[in-house]
Amino acid sequence: MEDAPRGLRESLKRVAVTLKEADIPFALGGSYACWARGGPEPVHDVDFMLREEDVPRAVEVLAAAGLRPVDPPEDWLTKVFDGEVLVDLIHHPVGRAVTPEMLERSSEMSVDSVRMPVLDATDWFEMTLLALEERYCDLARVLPMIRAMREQVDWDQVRRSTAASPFAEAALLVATRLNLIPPVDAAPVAARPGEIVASGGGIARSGAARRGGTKGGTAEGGKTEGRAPEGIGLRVGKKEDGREPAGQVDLGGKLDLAEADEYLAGELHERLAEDPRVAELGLEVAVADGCILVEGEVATDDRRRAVADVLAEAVPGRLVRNEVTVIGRATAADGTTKVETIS
Amino acid sequence: MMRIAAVGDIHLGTDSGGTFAPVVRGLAGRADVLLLAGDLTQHGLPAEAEVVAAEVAGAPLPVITVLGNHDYHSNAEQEITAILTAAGVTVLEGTGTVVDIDGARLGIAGVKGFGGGFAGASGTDFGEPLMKAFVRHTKEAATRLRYALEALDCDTRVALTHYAPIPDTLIGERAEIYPFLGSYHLAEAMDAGGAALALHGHAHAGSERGSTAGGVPVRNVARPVIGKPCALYAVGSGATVEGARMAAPSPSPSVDLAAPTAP
Repeated sequence: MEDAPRGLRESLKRVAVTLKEADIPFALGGSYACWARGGPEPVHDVDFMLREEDVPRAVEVLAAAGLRPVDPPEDWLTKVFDGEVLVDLIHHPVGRAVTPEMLERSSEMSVDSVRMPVLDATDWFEMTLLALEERYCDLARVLPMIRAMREQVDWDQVRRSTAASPFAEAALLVATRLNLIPPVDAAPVAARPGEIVASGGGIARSGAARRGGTKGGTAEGGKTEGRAPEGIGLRVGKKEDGREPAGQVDLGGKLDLAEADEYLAGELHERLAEDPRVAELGLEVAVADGCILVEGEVATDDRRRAVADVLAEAVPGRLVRNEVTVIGRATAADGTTKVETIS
Repeated sequence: MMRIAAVGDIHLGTDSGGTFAPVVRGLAGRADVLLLAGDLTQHGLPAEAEVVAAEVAGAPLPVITVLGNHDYHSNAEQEITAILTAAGVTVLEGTGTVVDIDGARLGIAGVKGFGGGFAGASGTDFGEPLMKAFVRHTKEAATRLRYALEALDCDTRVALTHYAPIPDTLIGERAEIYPFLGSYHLAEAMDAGGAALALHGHAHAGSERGSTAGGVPVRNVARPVIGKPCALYAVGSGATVEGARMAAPSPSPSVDLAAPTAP
């Protein structure tokens, strides 16, 4: 066991160098990214983040370098073994696709004397906090990581993007009360586009169930919009790009903004399903403190914009955070698809 | 073994041209038949069906489909069926077809299906006319699926639906919406009709695998669930299904589309 970390580091470096030489974009993630940024050294496994479309090639070059690929049942990662060491290649952490923007935000750091991209600390905490759930919410593991990385993190951004998770909210509350991280900026919502205040006030949500860490779906991260620091809050009422809606439909116009958040969330969820520009039944809408957060996956960038258009018409003047990601559906049937024999 | 490629909920829009054709072409030599589990279009528009038709036209294998709720959204299901049929697709609705695969006969019976819920938490044919119509639509679909399965003269039977026959493949969806995602009457029909495999879509956040009470393997092949362009299954040609009956296979069965509500 004492040798485990050294063995892990050797494998970490071998995988990183192999991916770099093959020009496959990646970032070191998981607990080793935390270690690289000052956290405790892990003893279990090594995680790399990469786009789903790059996974087959990554597996290919790693197999050529002598690692042993295994195809796990999970649909959000794949695994390779370097001897006894398990290396995870993750493309859908906490159900969200790894995007080129996320990889670009990573910083080049020296990890045990090898330079490699390491996941951005803010992205890292978003994933870590969103991974907390009923069966896994041990803050004793999370707090040392917050202590280790706190000055590297945009905590307001973490609060915004994890606002829908009560577990993340709890972790951030504890960290705030312990003075580990700055308190929530109390400026009014209108002055802070996109903010969904993490503390206080319930969050009403409506829509498809959030799938823990195992989101299916092929992601072509290339089309997913980045997370511009202040571009998150899209001021509804003025169209994102000035386009006219593709087809006008009479769906009853504006909604009553005075009604309770949970009814509003439900009605917006229905509106997104019924409006032909979107027609997505699986989008999740949350309303908190007057802000509207919409999450889920659509097939094209146009449909993602249509989500913003529909919400802009339904609730003009409200702040909307469009966390909808675009998934690619194209990719030819790849040769690695397994055949299941039904007996 | 007969090789089945399957996917549901591809949701092609008028902006989706060129996205699915490579998947279909890539199946040459790797599958014997492609089954689509409904929701081929986004809004049920004929223009979208034209896109689907163009993507599967000239497919290197037989393409068999049922329609999904999205394909009914614009009340153009008949037209969509005609467009797909003209492109060589076999559209099933309470009907079946048999594909000869090197001498082995694979029979596929299909129906869109409907919601209603699962044993112990389901709607009943009681009360308001709309509620009765809702439940009757499900029961009719299940009955037609059963007859279509029983009528197949083949070695191996596969049931193809859009809605789910069991709750196991819905795990991941909110339990509150299960009654909108499928009905146990479909599973009853699959068990009674002797299906060797059941494929469905519709539940994007569900799970891939399950089994009916009668032991029929069920797979949710909704595109977001399988996480790849299509799933591949091999089914045995095994012993001829007992009591395989009459009914000559009809290569392009006449489609009697289910009305969303009973007339």
